[in-house]
Amino acid sequence: MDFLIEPLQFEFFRNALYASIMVGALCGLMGVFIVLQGMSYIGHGLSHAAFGGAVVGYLLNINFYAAAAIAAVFAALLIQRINDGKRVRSDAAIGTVTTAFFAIGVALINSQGKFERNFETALFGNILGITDFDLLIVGSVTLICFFAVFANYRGLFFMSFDREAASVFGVRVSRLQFLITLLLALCIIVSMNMVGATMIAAALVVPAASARMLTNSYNRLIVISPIFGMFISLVGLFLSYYLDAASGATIVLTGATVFSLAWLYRLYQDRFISHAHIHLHDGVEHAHPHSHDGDHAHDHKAGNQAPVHSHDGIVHAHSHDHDDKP
Amino acid sequence: MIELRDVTAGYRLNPVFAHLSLKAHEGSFTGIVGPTGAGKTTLLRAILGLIPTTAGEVLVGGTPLSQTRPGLIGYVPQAGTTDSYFPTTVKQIILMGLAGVRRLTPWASRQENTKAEELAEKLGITPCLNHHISDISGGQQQRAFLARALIADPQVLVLDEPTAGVDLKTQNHILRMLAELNREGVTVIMTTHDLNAIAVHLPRVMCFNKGIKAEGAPSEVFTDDILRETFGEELMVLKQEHRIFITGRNPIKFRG
Repeated sequence: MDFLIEPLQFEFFRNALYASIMVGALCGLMGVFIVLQGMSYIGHGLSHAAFGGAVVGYLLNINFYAAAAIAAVFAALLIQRINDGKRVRSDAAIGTVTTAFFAIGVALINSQGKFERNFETALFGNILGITDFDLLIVGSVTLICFFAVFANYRGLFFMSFDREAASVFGVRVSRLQFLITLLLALCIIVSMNMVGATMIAAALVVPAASARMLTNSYNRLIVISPIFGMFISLVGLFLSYYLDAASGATIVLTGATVFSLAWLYRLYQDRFISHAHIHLHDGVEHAHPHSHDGDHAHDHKAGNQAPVHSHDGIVHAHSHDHDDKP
Repeated sequence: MIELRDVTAGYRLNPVFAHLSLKAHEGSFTGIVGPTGAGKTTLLRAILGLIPTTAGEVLVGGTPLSQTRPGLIGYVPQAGTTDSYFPTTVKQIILMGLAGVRRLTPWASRQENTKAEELAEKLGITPCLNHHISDISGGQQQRAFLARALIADPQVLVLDEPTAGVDLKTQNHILRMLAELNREGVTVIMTTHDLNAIAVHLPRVMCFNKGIKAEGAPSEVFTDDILRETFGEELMVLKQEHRIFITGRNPIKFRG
């Protein structure tokens, strides 16, 4: 246990610990919407736009968080606007807009020569350099995001499933989409110094994608994903300390390991653990456990789980169709 | 109940239909028929406010659509247009119908849960309430979406091809359900491709192809001329003992 306690004597590590718990939970929460709405690329893009904004902000003597936030929100709105035109898909809009912002940042760094501020932190992450002010910002954003999701949970759930139907049922889809974009931009900005702009997409997507492997319930997903996010951040933090490696890299590698384990578990579940499909026998719907062997050949287990079963007390077996999907 | 006044909708330079006016009276049941690409879905989307209309207005009970209360219109989308792998159960889908109703907490109240269970019972999907959406059949999915449309007590129900892709037994079940709802006072508007199994049984049909070609009872509307104008195909209407059958005029010959 000493290896867990030893680093806690340092204030910078305690700050990093608090930050990683909050950022992990925050990325886990926001990642659910990113994964379910199929917009994984936006996390990557907005972090790059925020980086460009941060560089411009530095030159104009504007606070890092404010400049990055303005750039990320502006880029997000521009992407949404381009996407509304339906001429190009969102991935093309994200690629064009956010890379342009990033390029502005890179061009300014090159043209200005030496910078007093080290932008490597924003690019690759340094969770061990978290200040009390950073903690205040991260804590505030985490609270805001959790409260906003809680207050709009039903609408966000429906919108993620079927945007058009949601709007017919009175969900203010445009407003909620703007809210999600805004929260996502805030999440990316506060996570940037810890995970780094280059790897934040993984920090956002991996907890939710791993949790998705384990559950088919949205309600459980939105609880498990932040827990995974916290776990991944904490393990990544300790690895970063002991390996003396960039925190972004260790967090993302921990996430990749968690995802791999979740994926293997899912494969094992699908292949070897029995589960039930709904069947129809003479119009009577029921289910009994069985396992899949191969693509969709069914291997009914022996014993009381066999297709031999009873109707009205008479034990018998008959061939039947499965009313399900492969 | 639903009124379109001089509505133009579709793409800005290429409207799917222009200057369309129609009325579906309170408690009416209307089936919209027409070939693929006729603009039936665009018409439904205009009624639902899912596409901006470039001219005219859509009224529900005399009120502009944008000012109506959430849940006044229930909507059942076409099967297969939603993500079957989304992490949701049948019960959660039904409860989505209340998402437009403001609540302080995200979870459903006991009353809402009871209502969802009663609707599931009514539609025969109680055994699958806790099943994932991908673990149920297409017919059961359609009934789940119908339950979602009904949970907020809509006065108007709009359905896009509700009987597409389901077997005859489920088709009849869905149609009986809709008829029952209509008897309870719900205004129903649906599109269908199926002239023989569905459209001929409806009290009122509207033949639609970029505009209304005819509307009225199937016995009045389904004539050779109107069907030719609507579908651009030679179809034959057979009437026998108050029943109507529609078939192609020229028999199709196969080799084997």
